[in-house]
Amino acid sequence: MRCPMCGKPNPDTAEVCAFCQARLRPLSAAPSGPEAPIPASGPPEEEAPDWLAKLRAQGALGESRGTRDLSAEAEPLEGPGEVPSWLARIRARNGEEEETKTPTGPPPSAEQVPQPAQPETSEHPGTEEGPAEAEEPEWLERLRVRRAYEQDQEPEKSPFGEATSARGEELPPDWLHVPREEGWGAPSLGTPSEGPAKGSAAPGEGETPSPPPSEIPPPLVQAAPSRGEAHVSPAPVAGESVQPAREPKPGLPRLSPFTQGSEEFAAGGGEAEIPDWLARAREAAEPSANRGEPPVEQAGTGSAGPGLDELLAPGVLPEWLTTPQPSPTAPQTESAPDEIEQAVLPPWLQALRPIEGPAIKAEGTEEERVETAGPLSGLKGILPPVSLFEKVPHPPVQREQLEVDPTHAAQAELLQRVVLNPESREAKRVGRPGRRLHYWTWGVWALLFVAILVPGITQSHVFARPTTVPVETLKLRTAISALPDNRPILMAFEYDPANAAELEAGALAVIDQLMGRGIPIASLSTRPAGPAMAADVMAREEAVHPDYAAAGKYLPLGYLPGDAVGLRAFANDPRKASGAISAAPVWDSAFLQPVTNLEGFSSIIIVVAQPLLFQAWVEQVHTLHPTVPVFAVISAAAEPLARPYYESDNPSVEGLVVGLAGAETYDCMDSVDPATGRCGNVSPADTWWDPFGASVLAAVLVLGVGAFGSAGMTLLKFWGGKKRD
Amino acid sequence: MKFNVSVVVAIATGLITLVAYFIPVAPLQAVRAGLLQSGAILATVALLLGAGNLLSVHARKIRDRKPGHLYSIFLVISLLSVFIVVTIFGTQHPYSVWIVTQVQQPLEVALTGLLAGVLVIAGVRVMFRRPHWSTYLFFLTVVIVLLGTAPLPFVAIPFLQGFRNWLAQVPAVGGGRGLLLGIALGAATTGLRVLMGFDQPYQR
Repeated sequence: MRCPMCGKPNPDTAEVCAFCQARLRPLSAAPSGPEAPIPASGPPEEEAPDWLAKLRAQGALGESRGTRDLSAEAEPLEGPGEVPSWLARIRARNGEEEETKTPTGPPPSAEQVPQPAQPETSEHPGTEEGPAEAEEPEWLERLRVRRAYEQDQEPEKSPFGEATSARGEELPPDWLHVPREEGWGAPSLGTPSEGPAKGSAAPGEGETPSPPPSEIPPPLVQAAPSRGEAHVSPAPVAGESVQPAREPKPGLPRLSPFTQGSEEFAAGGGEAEIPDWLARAREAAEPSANRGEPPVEQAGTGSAGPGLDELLAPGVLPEWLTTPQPSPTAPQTESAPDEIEQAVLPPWLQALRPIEGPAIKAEGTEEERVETAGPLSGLKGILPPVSLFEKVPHPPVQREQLEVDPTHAAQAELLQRVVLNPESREAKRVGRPGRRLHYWTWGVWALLFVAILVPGITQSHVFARPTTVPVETLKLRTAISALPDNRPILMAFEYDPANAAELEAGALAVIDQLMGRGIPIASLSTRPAGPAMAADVMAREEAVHPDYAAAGKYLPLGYLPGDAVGLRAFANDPRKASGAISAAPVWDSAFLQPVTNLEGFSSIIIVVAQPLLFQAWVEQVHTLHPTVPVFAVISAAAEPLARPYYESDNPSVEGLVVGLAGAETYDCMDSVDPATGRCGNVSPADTWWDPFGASVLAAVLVLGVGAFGSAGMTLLKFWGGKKRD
Repeated sequence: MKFNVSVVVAIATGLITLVAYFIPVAPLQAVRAGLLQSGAILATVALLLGAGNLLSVHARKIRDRKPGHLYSIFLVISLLSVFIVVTIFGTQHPYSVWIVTQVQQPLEVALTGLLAGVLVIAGVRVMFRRPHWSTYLFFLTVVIVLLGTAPLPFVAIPFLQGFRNWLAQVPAVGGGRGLLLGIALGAATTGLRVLMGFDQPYQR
């Protein structure tokens, strides 16, 4: 079957169209079985009701003849219950008309009059079983009226002129031109006396088909000869009838669109209101009425006379009732017969005209795809979500010429490689240029090692011992020589193991003198490794002075935390500051029992490598107890910052031993053999004196070579540039 | 400038200690002594906390198997062993002294010796990379001081030692004094800022 909406073929069992989802079977119908929808062109021949088939046959016959005869005898019905009411009314009116007028055309034979088939009871229950006087199709009413006028007068021009027949369209139905004088009331079926009004078509014989439910007639257009416009009125509902206009029945309401026109129609005479196209169509269809089609079934009245003829008159019924038409396609421009002049629609009407036929395809558009998935399945014209966007062209990329630095390019490439390759995320350690040791560097190291190892291994005494003694060193030796031996001295070991090689020589020299004099030594350190260093130095020197060790004159006070704060606290109360750290028996010894404050110590000797620690000792301790002399054994690196405390008007430090040279000087003081130049006192300083001298000379040699080489190259460049200039 | 308890305590402590330097009042001196003792104790505790933090950091490194966790293992072992030995036997015990003199001291002395060779090589490179008169002056100074400090074989150059002494005692001491003055002035300024609350190094 074909869909009434889109016209596309669908399976017979389908209820909705597969293309446009329109219902193929009406909802109001209660199909007893699978029924095929009525197509736009009407049901097919084999399925059409009898009355429809008869109408079509008569229409076809009429087309061939040029006329249509509706006055064929109607087939007698079996019983009054089966005759539709409208048919009965038609018959009744036919009877009335026959009484008033004589029929103009030859009475159609019973064979020619198509017998309208019984309408489907399920579709029109009201029309079949309603009272006889209930409803009468309005078109029937109009038919009657028209026929009556046609019989009397010549057909006149339609007030619509040539615009009434469109190009290739169906002729407007009759109900468009039949003014309604009265309401939609229908005459009763069983009242032949109340048959159709005078002059109206009286389809006494046979039934008058009602339009199928799917085919709702278009809005009525009032036939008003005095007006140039068409008045649209609501379409009649199937089953309703129209009272004949010629003789308005009393008691029925008047409808304004039709009453006016009907009044005019009634007043001015019916001849002027019949459109000429209708007349022409009728004349053209008259031969078809004489084809010998079966008469229309009557609605129980038994009279199939002139009423049916009027109904079947050419141009009365729409074409879909008479001829099966194909599915609506392109408007047929040549559907009108040759006799019918092609009408020209006014522009405004053409604009209102719906476009029929296949949609005009836009250029370049593809066939609409049907969505197959999701909630929109079955619909056409769904925008594909992906393909559209994929086709969106990108704007043109304006490429500019970038000047990429080779370094940047390399960095960008590295970054890309790191990002793409996870294994390469660890940056490769690239050795810095110049990191590798050159040959001359190896030579320097080798020279230094040789300079240190050879004198040390051979125990040479090539390098001369110092003969001049610095004043600060002499003062220290003199002061220690004058210290009382019953009062301990405080010795601060403020150096780290890294500076032990340089400072232990001086510390050992001083301690050796102290131990030789038997002066008790109390050691203290603010460095964590200081107490251990002090213990080592004292142990080494006690090995040389066993009496000193036996006397127990070494008094370790341990570690003093807090740097400057601890020194100040110690300066305030030495017992309290160091009592919790060192063991109590140390302070309870005979040498420290009389010591209650720093004044109990005879002097303070600071062995320090860093100038800040020396400064802290001087500023925190000596300033609180200025009467206690302070001496220092310092490294050569700390000498520039320590010497101002010595070379001042009110010196804070009374003696210094500076570095290895000072230690050697302190050791060899009063023990140098003038003949050999060796120091009589074998000490670490004396042992390290030659390696120290050799390494210093090696360093000076390397620096000298480098300086001369650099100067030579500079001069060569300068001369070379000068020559070029 | 934010004022809170720590700021008040810091300022009060500094003022009391400073004033006690100038006003020899017995109660004030006693308070100052107490504050100084507390500072010394806090420094000790801070040393222990530092050691504990070091231990935890390296323990976490070992647990997470981060790169270089082997060195952390050796560090933790050495730290714990030394701590245990010194805690048990004391600082003057031969075991404790042995750790310092036989392990720590040789290592540090060796590194210091390497520093001397590195300085010599760096001096040579400076002369080749920056052949400027200041570089040659620096070289000359270094040579004079070294030759004046170290003994010479088979020969003695008296004026060299005197010149070296002059360099060490005149220009160097002068520069040293300038540095000391700068250090003192900076320390005084910093102390005043702390006392007035402008600097709060104890705050995060």
